[in-house]
Amino acid sequence: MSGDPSLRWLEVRARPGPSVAGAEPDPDLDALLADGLLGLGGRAIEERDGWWVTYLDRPSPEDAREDRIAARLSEDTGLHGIEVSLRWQPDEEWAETWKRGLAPRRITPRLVVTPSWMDAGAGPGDIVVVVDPKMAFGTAEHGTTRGCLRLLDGVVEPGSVWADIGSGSGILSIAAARMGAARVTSVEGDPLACEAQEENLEANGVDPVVTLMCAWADDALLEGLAPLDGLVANIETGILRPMLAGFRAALRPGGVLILSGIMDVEWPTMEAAVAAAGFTLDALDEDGEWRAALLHS
Amino acid sequence: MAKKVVGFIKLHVPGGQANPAPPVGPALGAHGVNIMEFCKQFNARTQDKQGITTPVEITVFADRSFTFITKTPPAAVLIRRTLGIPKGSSVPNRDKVATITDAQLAEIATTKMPDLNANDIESAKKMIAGTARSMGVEVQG
Repeated sequence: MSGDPSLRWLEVRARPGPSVAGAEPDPDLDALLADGLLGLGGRAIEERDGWWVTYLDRPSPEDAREDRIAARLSEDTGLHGIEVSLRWQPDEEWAETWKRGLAPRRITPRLVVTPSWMDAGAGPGDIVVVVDPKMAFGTAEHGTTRGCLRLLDGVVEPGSVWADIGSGSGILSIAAARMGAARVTSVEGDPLACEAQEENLEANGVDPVVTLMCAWADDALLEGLAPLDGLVANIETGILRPMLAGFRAALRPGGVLILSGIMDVEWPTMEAAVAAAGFTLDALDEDGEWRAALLHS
Repeated sequence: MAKKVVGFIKLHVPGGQANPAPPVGPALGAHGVNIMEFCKQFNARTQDKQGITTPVEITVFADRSFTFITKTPPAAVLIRRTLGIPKGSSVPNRDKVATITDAQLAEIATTKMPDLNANDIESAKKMIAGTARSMGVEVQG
């Protein structure tokens, strides 16, 4: 996605020369250099491979010289021996280019996850979940989430009661609601993820069915959710294992448990742990190095 | 949340002023990060640091979600802003560019406390005073 063809940016890379830089990182030296680059007209600074990088739009040809910029930085910062490197960069629609590679993903024959700016291409009977990558984990771009979605589709009974523990973006809660759950309690401890999830629940029109609890799950919280027909938790093996007893307490006898965030090498240990906790394995989903397990109590 | 980290980006952005222009756009775009979402969140979180260069560290996860933390501005930036001086002295031992009061040191030390390895405000003030002297700023008292 090209931007303004009449605009090109001068990438200015600067770093303290060997006579200035010490062996240890010096935040105040960094600040001086950053401020010097902003003083040239840069909008922000990126630290990249030991360089401080900014961009100038439409600098005059006489200013676009390494010696001139080094001299100006030296004068403005009081630092001497600053190394400068320049190159030109064409303009781009950066607010759009980050979307490259994102597209609707059909996860199961009837379930499609799509970014908000794209047409899902859904047909009659399809379930569409709209999620954009924001400050909450849980998009269809990751194998752990896809595994949960595949396992959910087929076990969520109409009118059933579910919980989603460590729910991130809320994608699994939204999917469960769309598949017919009457009530889903979505538990997430990160306040920023909760903010992002609230937007997602509203955008998908499931906020009456899904209740977001912005809290870290512990045994008492899990027990308070009982009796659940199903529980899904896409977290990490090390966090899931000590929660298994709590999951068991939250589920009704015969209730469904979906666990994800388990790496292939971790599965044998996890398999033993779920069996010891009284769960029976019904199916194992494989997505690259990730495993998701469908179990019942 | 099985968070697998796939990218780490370090930026210095004036508070409240993040936008998709370079370097923010290309740096985040290269990792597939939602640029407008970052700008919105950063600007909201740094409303009270309007225009002050603020270090920010962004962590990108495998599913293209992200998180970020902002650090307090470096002591040198806060000293220059507090005293209204454009830069420090190039010969700090000889040429003094300003004087900082005890109250100003305390104010900067309080701002910097979250990022300083200091047990109390007096230790933090000593650190800030050291930075001030190295910039050619005289420390009062």
